[in-house]
Amino acid sequence: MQRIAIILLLLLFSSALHTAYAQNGTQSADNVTITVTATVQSIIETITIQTIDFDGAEREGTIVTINPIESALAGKIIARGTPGSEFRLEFLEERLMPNTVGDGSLSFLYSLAGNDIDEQESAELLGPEVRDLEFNSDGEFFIWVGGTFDLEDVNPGSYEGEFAIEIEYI
Amino acid sequence: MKKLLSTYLVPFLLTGALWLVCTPDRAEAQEINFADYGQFTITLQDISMGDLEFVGPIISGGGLYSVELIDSYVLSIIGVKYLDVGVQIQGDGVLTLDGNPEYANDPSRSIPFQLKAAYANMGENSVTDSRFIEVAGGNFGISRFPILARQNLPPGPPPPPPTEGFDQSLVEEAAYLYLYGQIDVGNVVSGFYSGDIIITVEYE
Repeated sequence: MQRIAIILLLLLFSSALHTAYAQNGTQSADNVTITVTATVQSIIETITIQTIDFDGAEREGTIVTINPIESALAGKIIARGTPGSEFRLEFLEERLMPNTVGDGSLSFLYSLAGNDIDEQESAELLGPEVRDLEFNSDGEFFIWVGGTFDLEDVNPGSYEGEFAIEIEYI
Repeated sequence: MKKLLSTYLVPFLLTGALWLVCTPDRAEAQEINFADYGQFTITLQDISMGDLEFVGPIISGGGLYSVELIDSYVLSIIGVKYLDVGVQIQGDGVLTLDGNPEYANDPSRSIPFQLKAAYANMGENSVTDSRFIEVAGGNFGISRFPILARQNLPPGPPPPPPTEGFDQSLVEEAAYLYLYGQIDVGNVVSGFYSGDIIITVEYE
């Protein structure tokens, strides 16, 4: 009995010594987890559905107009991007179109209307720089292209020009 | 006498051997490690809050996008200014779509992430005072530095042991940790990508 008691005492002493040593070596520590994030958007595409058609365009004197909201002759573009993403749109309002068969040029003033649903009548006119547009839940935005030009002092001929539109995510 | 040896000395020696085996390696005994003399606290505080965010627009196939040091994510390490702190940084190698780790090897749903890190221990939260922490290819980095740089002076006196009347705030200082890096965006599915960085600090 005495032998067991002495062995137990020795074990307890050893254990206490080890515990004390371990406590002496305790180090404080802390840790944090940081999340790294990035939201990736798809490339913006523009698809021309219809070009501007001047045959039968509304005319007042020498002024020819295609209204982008009301005219069925307006051009139509669909822009496709990441659903719900905001974007800005820029275009050159005035373009000078050269006469491809003779002298002179024609000044064309573009006007645009846009809508997040495929409905021309409820589209809103867009200025040459708009910053608060948004792709719909299908990632689409609809643009109608119209414009106006003056036939006064314009030589007979064929006039060709481009329309430049720039769309970027914000 | 023989009986005495077998009865008491042998169990004692066995217990001693067991104790030695269980004791952590103290091979660095020549180093004076003041942190071992008491339980000083160390705190890692998130100054930037939120996420280390690569700000858009980030376009699929757009290539490299960076968060620079000047815009880095900042954490402070608050502890006893005389003591050295060991920092361990482990970041994910890729950001995955919706943070789903199953996409880690899917090149259309993961974005390679290169983590960079720096610290400043001149008492100011200033990237101009910062020093780079080498982060290896696996986005793993370790560093050791005093909470407050000794600025070419000999080490100061050891802090008073944390007795009942000890106030650690009197000898506290903050060092700063900066996390930044770059991602290489290939032709990936559009959406939200995320990954983690785990930072551990402890007195050394």
